[in-house]
Amino acid sequence: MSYDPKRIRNFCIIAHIDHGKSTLADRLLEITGTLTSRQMENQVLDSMDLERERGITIKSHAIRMQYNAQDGQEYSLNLIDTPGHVDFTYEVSRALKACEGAILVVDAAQGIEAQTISNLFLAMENDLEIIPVMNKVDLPGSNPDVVAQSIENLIGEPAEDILRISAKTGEGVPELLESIVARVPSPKGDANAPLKALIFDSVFNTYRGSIVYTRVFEGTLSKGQGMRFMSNNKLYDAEELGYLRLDMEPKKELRAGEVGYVIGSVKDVKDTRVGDTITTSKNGATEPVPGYRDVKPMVFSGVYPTNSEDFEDLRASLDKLQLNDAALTYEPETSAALGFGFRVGFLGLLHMEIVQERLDREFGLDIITTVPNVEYIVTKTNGDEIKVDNPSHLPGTGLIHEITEPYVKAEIITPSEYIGNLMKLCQERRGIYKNTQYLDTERVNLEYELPLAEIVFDFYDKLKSLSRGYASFDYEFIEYQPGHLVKLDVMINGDPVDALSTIVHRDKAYEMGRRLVKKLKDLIPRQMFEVALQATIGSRIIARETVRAMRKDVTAKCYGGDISRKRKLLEKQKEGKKRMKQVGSVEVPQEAFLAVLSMDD
Amino acid sequence: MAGLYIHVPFCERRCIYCDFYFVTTVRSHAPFVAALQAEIAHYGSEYGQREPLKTIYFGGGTPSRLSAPDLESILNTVATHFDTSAVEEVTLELNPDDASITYLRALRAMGVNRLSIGIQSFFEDDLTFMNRSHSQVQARGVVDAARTAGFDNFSIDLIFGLPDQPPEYWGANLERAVGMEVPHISTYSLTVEPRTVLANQVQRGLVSELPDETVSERYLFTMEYLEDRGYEHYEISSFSRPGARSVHNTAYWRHENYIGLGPAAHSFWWTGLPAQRWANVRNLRTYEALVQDGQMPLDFRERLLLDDLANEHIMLSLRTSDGIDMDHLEQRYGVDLLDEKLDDIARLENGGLLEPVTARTLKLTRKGRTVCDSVVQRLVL
Repeated sequence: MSYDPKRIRNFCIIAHIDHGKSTLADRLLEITGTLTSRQMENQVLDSMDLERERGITIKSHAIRMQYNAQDGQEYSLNLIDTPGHVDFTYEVSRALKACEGAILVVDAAQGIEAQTISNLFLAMENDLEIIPVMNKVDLPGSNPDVVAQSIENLIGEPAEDILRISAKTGEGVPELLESIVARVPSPKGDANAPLKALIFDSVFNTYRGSIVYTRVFEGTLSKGQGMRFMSNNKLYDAEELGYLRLDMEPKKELRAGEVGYVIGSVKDVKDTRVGDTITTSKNGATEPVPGYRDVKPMVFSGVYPTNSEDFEDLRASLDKLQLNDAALTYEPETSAALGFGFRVGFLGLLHMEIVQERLDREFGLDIITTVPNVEYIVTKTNGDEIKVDNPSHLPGTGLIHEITEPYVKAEIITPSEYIGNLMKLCQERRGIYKNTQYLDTERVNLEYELPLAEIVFDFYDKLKSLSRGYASFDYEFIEYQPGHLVKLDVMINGDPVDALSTIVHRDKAYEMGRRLVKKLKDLIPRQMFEVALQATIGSRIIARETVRAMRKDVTAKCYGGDISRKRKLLEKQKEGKKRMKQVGSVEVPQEAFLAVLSMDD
Repeated sequence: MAGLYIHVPFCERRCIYCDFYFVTTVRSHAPFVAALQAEIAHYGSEYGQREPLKTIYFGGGTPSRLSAPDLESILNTVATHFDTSAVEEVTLELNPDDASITYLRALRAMGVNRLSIGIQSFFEDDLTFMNRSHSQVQARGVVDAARTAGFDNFSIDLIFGLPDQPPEYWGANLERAVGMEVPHISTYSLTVEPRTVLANQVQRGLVSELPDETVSERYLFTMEYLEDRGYEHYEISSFSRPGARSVHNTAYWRHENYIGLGPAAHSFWWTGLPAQRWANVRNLRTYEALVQDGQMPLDFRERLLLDDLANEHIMLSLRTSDGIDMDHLEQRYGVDLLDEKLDDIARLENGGLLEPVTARTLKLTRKGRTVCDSVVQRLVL
C-alpha cells in the first residue's frame, strides 16, 4: 500500500485494569485479520508473564492493522498500547503523544475509575479525539445507562451516542472500527520536513540491542540513514526499520504520521529514552517534539542479598533488569545491619513490587528489602542542600535547617458513601483537601494534596479496605514542601539498626515508634537470650519492648535410634535461619525489615 | 561391638501422645515373629560376623505383648546368626500390666537382664488422661515384682508437663521413684507430636499445652531433685544411679553401629565413609510381605559424609553430660569447633548455657539443657 497519511489512524486504548483493554485489542486484531485465529493468543499485547498474571500492562507496545472500511478504502490503524498504572504516568503520556485518538473503555458495571480519569485527562491535554465505549454490556449486573451518564458528565459525549460493546463476544466492535476511521484525525506532518520521530517505547534485545518504537511526526527516516537522539546527541545508524505487525516487518522508510520500529545497534537502553526525539544526523530538526523529561525515581528502598555472598549476583541481575527498564536506578550502599546492597530507585510502589518479584522469580535471588521511602531535600544550617534517599543518612538534628518532602496531587474516585472514611484517611496521612467533584449521582472525585511518603506505606490497601474495594486512586508529583520531620531509629540490644530507620512526621513519631517496636516484638522469634527493642529519636528513647528469652526448646526423646529425623529437622531449621539476618547476636527475620508496612492500628 | 534393636509393633491400646509405630489389632504374632526371624537371618549373614553384639534392645510398641516363648525363640535366632558371646545388656520395654511374676521370671531366665518399664505416672487420673493400659496399682507394684523376679537393673519412664496435672503430682512421682531406689529414670516432657491423638485434642481446643515456662521449671526441678539424690543426669532425658546408664542408648549417642529390625526400626553403620543410616517401612503387613518375599523391607537409606556426621555428633554429644570433646571431634570428624564457633561458644558460656568440663570439653549447663536444640542450632556447621 502506498504512503497516504490521510489513511493512517494512530490511536490507543484507555482503560482501567480488568475493564477489557486487552480483550478489545484481541478483537480488533482478529476482525482486521491481523491475526488469524490460529495465531490468536489471548491478550497478545501483554507479553510478560508477570504482566499477564497481574492483568496489567507494564510496557507499551504497538501494532499496525490493515482495515477495509465501509467507504471502500483501506486504512492503516496503529494501535499503541499504554501502561495502565499510576507509576508509569510519564510513559503513558508519551504513548498518548504518539496518537491522534483514544478509545476510552469503561466497564459498564464498574463505571469510571481514578486511573482511567487521569489517563483520560492526559489524553485530553494532548488534544486526542476521545471515543468512549462501554464494555461488557453483555454481562448481567451492567448498568450502561448510569455509566453513560457519568461519561457524558465527564467528557460531554451525549450518553445516547456512546457505543455499547462486548469485547469478549465482538458485539459492537465493527461499529467501533468505523468510528475510529471516521472520528480519529489523520496525522498531520510533512514527510519532506526535517525528521522528528518520537520514541514512545524501547525494549532491549540481547542480539540486536535496543529496539525503538517510534512515531514519526515530521520528515522521513530511511534505512541506513544516520540518526541523532536529541536529548543526548548520540549518533546511530538506522540499520533496520519497519512496521510493527505481529512480528517486525522491515521497510525502506518510515514517513510522517507512521508508527514503527528502528534498530541501530544501540547497546544501552539508557540512550533510547522514552520521550526523546530522533532526527537525522545531517540537516536535522532544530527543536524536538516537546515534553521530554528525564524520568526520576520517586520511591527508594534498600535491596540486600539475604546471603551476603550473593551481592555480585544481585548486581548482575539489576544490570540485566535495567536493560529493559531505564527508569530503574541503583547505587551500591552499605548497611551496618545488612551488609552490602543497593539503594534502588523506583517510579512508584508497583514498579518496586515488580522489580522485587522479578529478582526473585527470574533470577532466583533471596533478598531483603527495607521499608520504601521518598527522597528528601535537606537544607543544612551551613546552607548546603543535600538529597537524602536513605533515612539513615539524614544529618543530625542540630545540622538541619529545613527538610522538604515531595507532595503529590491525588485523585480518589469513590462511591459517595465512603467519602467520610476516605477523607479521614487522607487527614490522617497529612492530606490537604482541595476539591470534591460529583461524576454522577453516586460517584465522587476527591482531590487531595498528600505527602508522597504517606502513600508509599499502606495507603492503597487502606483505601481499598475503607471503601470495600470500590475506591480507586491516582497521583502525580507536584512539588517539594517543608515538613516537621524527624528520624526514628530502632536499636536491638543497644545496637542501632540502620536498615530500620525511618523518617516520620514529628507529631506521629511517638505513636509510630511505639507501634514499630511492638510489631518487631511479634516478628522477632524468642531467642536464647533476652532481646531489647528500643525506638529512639536522637538520643531519646521513646518506646521499648522486650523479646523474652526462650524458656524451652529441647527434644525430649532422642532414641529408638531415629537420628535421621532429628538431623533433617536441624537441617531444615538451618535453612530457615539462612533467611534470617544476624544483627549482633540477634537473628532477625526478613519480614522485620518491612515491619513498618504491616503495623496494625 | 554393635547394638541390635528389635521393634515390636504391638500395643494393647493407643497412648494419646505416642508417634512410634505400632498396631492395636488383636491378631496372631506368628507372622511377625517369622518375618523378624527371617530378617535376623538376613542381617546375621551380612553383619553378624563383622562385629560381636554388645547390646540387644526390644523396643516398641510394647515388646511385653509378645509371649515368653516368642521372645525366647527370637533371642535364639539372634544367637544363631550373630556373635552374642560378649553381650552385656539385653533390655526389654515392659508395660506394668504385663508384669506377672511368671512372665518376668521367664524373661530373666532367657537372658533379659534389663527392663525399661513404661510407668509414666503413679496417679490414676494421669494414666487415664494418657490412655495408658495399666492402673495406678500396677504402676506401684511393678518395681517390686521386677526385683522379685531377679531384675536389679531397670529403668522407669515418667512423663511430666501433662496439662491439668496438679503441680504436686510430679514431685510425688519423683519421690516415689527415688524411694523405690529405681536405678534408672527416663523423664520426658509431654511432647505434642503431629498426627497423634494428643495433637488432635490440642487442635480442637480440648487440651491446652502447658506454657514453656512451666514445663521448663518442672524440668529444672527434676534435674535438681534427682541430682541431689545421687542420680547422674547423663543425657537430656536420662538419669541413672552410678553404673546404671543404658549401654544400648549410649551407643546411639556415640555413633556406634547398630542394626534395627522390625517395622520402622532404624539402623546405623559406619566403618568407612560414607556411613549409612536406613530404616524399615512403617507398616507391619508391608514389612512381613517384603521379608517373606526375600526383599529388604526398606523405607529409606541415606549415606552420610563427614560433615553430616560431625553435625550429628555435635547434636548427640551435647545431649549428654560427657559433652563435646574437641579433640575427639577434631580427630574423628575433622572439625575444629573452637576455631569455627569461638564467638558463639563464648556467648553461650557467658549466657550460662554452656560450661567447660575440661579445657577441651564443653557441656550444657542445667539452663542450657532446657534450650538444648537452640544451642545445638548455634553450634552445628
